[in-house]
Amino acid sequence: MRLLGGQRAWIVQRLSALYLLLCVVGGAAWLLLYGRPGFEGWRGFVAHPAGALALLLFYTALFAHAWVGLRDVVLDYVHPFGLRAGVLALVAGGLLALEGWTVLVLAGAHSVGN
Amino acid sequence: MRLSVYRFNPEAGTAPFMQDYEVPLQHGDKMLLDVLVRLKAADDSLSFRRSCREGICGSDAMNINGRNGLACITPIADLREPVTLRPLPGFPVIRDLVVDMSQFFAHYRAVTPYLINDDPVPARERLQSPEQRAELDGLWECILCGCCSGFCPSYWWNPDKFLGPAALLQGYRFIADSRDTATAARLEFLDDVYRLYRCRSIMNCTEVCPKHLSPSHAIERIRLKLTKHSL
Amino acid sequence: MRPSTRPVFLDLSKIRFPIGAVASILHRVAGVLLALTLPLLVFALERSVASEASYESLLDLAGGPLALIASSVLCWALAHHLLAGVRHLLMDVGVGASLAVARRTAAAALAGGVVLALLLVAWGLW
Repeated sequence: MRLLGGQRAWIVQRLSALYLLLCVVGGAAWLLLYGRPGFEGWRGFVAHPAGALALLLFYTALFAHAWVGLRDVVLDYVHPFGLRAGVLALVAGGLLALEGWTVLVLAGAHSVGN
Repeated sequence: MRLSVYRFNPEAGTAPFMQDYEVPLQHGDKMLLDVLVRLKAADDSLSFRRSCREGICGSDAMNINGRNGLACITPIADLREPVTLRPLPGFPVIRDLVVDMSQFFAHYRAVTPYLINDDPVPARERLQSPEQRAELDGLWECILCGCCSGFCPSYWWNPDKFLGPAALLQGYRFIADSRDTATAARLEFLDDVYRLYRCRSIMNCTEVCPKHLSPSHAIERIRLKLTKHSL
Repeated sequence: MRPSTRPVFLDLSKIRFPIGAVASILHRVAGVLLALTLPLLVFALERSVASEASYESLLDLAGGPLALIASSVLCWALAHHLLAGVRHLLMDVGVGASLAVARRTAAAALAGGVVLALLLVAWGLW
């Protein structure tokens, strides 16, 4: 088994980049058009299943994109096996923890919103 | 012409150093190799590879004023003095400007750089349409000088695992060949986080290729082929 | 053969990097910077929905001079990473993959990243 993907990771990097691009450009355009949403408007968006899902996808894409990118940095510059394995594990663990935290925040906002 | 040349003698047991030279140019000196041959006549301890002196054998690849190129087709008129000559970056130095290219050629062998076709041999040659033949242009011309791989940061960091632009260009040359039937196996071999995917499309390879080929474009095509192939 | 005893020339300060390589390494630097802010980004999400007061306090973050410098650097990182990333995505599908065009798009990403960052900072201050 190959632990680190070649083509698969590359595809993940590209697809997540496309979604992030869409969100950043779309979000910036929305801000330019309508200004800041205000607390109630923002929480309404986050509490709505569609909004929460879009945000969850955004953060997940962000973490997946960061994983491929940081992984590549480590593979290029960190060569001693132990250090490389340790740093990769740290990055993977950190990103997974952030993903879990994001899920908790979004679920919390959902239950408060209802 | 003033030159500053990387010197290393494995028998001397000393670290590499830069040696300055002043070489009087003579009528007819056009290319950097002309100057190097003159320099060699004055100081025969200096080592470098050269053979065809016309950009076909790929022997005299070196780092010239910070960029890789072939001495024999680098016009001296374009060079800023002192002309600084160093061996190909990232390659183990055997002596002076002569580098060990064993790993480079091992990567070349790894992409099975020959036609693979187990179909029964036809009575005459395996034909290609002009369009199919045109697919190979920009690929077959590679002379394996190593300028590209020696200028690729990804190759510098992982020279043992990343195949490098030269080998990948040759890999694509046979993937793109309509007569080759091993495409699936070739693609599967390349689908690896190291062999192919260390490439970050920096395009340093294409910048320095003395034959004006584009290994980076070949790599892009391999990645697209892999994507299509696996869907 | 004694490959281990052989020296290797790899003094990056002695190598003349093409503009594409500069755009590429900055793409990587910017990406690492952005990755380092990921915990902050989740924290900001949490604060933004916790209460009205915490939502408002987020907006006041970019107040001090230190925060301004930090957010300016992050704006540049985002702008450069985004533009250089779009350049790579286009090159993947064969758009702008030729050397002449790739050099120009690298210059455009480098300059555009700075311009876009300045615009973002100005927008944030306003």
